[in-house]
Amino acid sequence: MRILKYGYFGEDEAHRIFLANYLELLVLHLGKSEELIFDFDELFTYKFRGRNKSEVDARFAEAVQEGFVDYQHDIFFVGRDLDTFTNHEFKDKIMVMKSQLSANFHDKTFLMIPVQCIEHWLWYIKINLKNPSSTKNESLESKPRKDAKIALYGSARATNQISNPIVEELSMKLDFDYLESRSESFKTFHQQVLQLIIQTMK
Amino acid sequence: MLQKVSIQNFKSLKDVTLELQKVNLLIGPNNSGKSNFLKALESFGKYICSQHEENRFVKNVNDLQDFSFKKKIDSLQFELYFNSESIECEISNSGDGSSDVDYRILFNNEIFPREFSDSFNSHTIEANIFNDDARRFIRKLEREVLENIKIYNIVPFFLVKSSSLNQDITITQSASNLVSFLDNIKEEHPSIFNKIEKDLNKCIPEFKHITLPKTKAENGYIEKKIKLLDKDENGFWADEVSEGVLYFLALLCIVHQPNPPKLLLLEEPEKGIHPRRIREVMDFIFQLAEDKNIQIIMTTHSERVLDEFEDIPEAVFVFDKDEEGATQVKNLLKDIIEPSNEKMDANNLPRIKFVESLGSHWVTGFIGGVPR
Repeated sequence: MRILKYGYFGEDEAHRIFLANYLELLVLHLGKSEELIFDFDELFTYKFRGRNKSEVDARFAEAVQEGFVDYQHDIFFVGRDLDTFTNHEFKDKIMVMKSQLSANFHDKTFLMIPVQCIEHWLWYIKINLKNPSSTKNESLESKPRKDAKIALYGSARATNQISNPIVEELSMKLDFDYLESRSESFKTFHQQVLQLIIQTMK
Repeated sequence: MLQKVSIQNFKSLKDVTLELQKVNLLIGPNNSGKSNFLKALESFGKYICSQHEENRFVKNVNDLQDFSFKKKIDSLQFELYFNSESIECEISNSGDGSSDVDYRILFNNEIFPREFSDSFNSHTIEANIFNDDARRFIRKLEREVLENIKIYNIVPFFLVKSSSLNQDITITQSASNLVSFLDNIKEEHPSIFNKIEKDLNKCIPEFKHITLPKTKAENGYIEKKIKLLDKDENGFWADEVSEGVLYFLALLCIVHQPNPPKLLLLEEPEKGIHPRRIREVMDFIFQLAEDKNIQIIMTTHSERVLDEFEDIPEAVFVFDKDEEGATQVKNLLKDIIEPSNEKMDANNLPRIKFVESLGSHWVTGFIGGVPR
């Protein structure tokens, strides 16, 4: 059994809940639950927190460093909404953030950067659950963040009390192939994690 | 100046030691022990200056239990380092089966009173409880540090109200007697009043004069109320100006009062102050420490206040509680920044740039002192 202790630094609870459920489901999906466990470092994550995007941008490289040096993480995740939706902005952001990381941590740090916001990934999941047989390929990521939040939570400014259970429920029903086919930003993130698992299980 | 304070078993302060600077900042989440530290300093400080009954904040075993860590009946200990010497005060259960408590003071390896008796509280320093050295030390400590020690927790709500007058020339802890204080100072110490006006104008240039016109209170009595005038003599009642301005005025009055404290204990000086004004308030506080030779210990929840300490991280103390509920205090430089630098150097990694933005490193968790 291989245990991968992971740290997370990001801007809100939705990313953290999504990530935890994603990793748990992925191990099951790949049939590796007897061989691999992702162990979330709760202590680190509740101490280190970005309150908004600019704070995540300013501090994530140092948070990654703290995670690996002080908390002995095996891998690290950084979560941040992109806010915009063009492909080149997404790629630029990934490149800029990677360049801020110390070389030692490049292969062990995963950037979870949903185009627009994490709610767009969840919105896709919701639509798929509602109409699993639909083949309509509507791009939600060009729609404003506010629309995604209203579609999920019923309000543009939902409290954690309202949003967390919804994020929890939807992320537990994630269909990897479907979301990968709909969202380029999810696909980028997912492919990195798959590579990690392949490398780890070698 | 106080160099070091050690406290044991006072409320959440099971065992803490702080090496103090001229201006000190205590940060940490709510209920982490910052206010307990100020309270301990105030309570023991008053007692050390004068061992009168009225300054005994622990009067019996029940009080001792209330003040002790986890409400266990245990001795409270407090040690102050001043001018390279230390004085210690201990309050403990008398152990004779009664509800009495014993106070004893330790100075230069001598315990006072030399013989225990219930009458200790009726003696004073002059009553030869102490030897000459101890008496001299306590007098100096009182004069230079502990005189008029008080925690100021200014409540702007009180400052907007009209007030009846009395003979106040000392500001209360919440500054609720500000109107009365200003009225008396204007009459009896006009030079101090002018200095307060001048400093207010220097830091908040839109206000030039402080006036105290009469108003009719709801109960029909004639009272006075603060009204600030701009350079054209347009008047603004206290409830028409921001809480920050009133807070600032109260702070000025505290430090300019005829017998100001030498050790100023301040709770959250940023309260009601616009973020862009915080630098001015902090400039004023640092200036005050220099000009008036006052030592300052303040608490804050503002990252902007913390940012003002980027060049003196040794003056910042980070409060947290451990699993037992005991307050743990770390010095930002010695216990956080330096060990982190050593660790990063050993790993050939860049150092965490704490002082580039202390506030940001605090709220994101790098420094500790954050709520879960």
